[in-house]
Amino acid sequence: MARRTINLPDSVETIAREAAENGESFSATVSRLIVQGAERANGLKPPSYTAAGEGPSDLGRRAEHYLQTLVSAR
Amino acid sequence: MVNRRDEAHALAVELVTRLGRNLVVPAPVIVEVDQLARARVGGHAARRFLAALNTGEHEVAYLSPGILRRAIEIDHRYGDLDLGLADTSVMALAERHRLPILTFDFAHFRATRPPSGYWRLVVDEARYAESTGQ
Repeated sequence: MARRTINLPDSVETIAREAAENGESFSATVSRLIVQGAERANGLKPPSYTAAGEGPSDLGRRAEHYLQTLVSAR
Repeated sequence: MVNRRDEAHALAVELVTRLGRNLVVPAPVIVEVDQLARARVGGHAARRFLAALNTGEHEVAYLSPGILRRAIEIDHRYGDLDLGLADTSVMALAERHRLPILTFDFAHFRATRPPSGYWRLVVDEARYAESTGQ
């Protein structure tokens, strides 16, 4: 693996540290974020949770109704 | 977004994909989405949504005391609408940071307004109707 020395503004370093996964080194986090950024720049990628399951077809439009049903059931 | 059968799924995917990390999700909205997804779509879908937030796919906004205070004020002011903290936290953040709002809950966001003007909505009723055939 090539070693590169770069200077990160404090604000960018903070973003990288906050985005680190458990046990992930700082270098690995920065690499992963660069890859994700490049993927997005080259073609937008839908969020990872897109179409994760199936529910009612009017769930978004009638979210308030479904939430009230949840509260009433308690 | 998590519900592939939702009539507005394609529209939501298009908008949220374009916004990516620029989409700010207030903490109370996370709780609401989590509960709704678990109850109506499934625990797996809810966990996928939470994991995405954990890896920074969107920006999470934790409520400062000032934003919380303002959200509660808005909820009191429009008590008859029974808005709830999720909606009013969105309004308080939009008001403070002059942000547009991504919502399909047109009734609540048309019935309320910031101190001056109207909420700027990313999608209006016409675009929603065009995309969903409603």
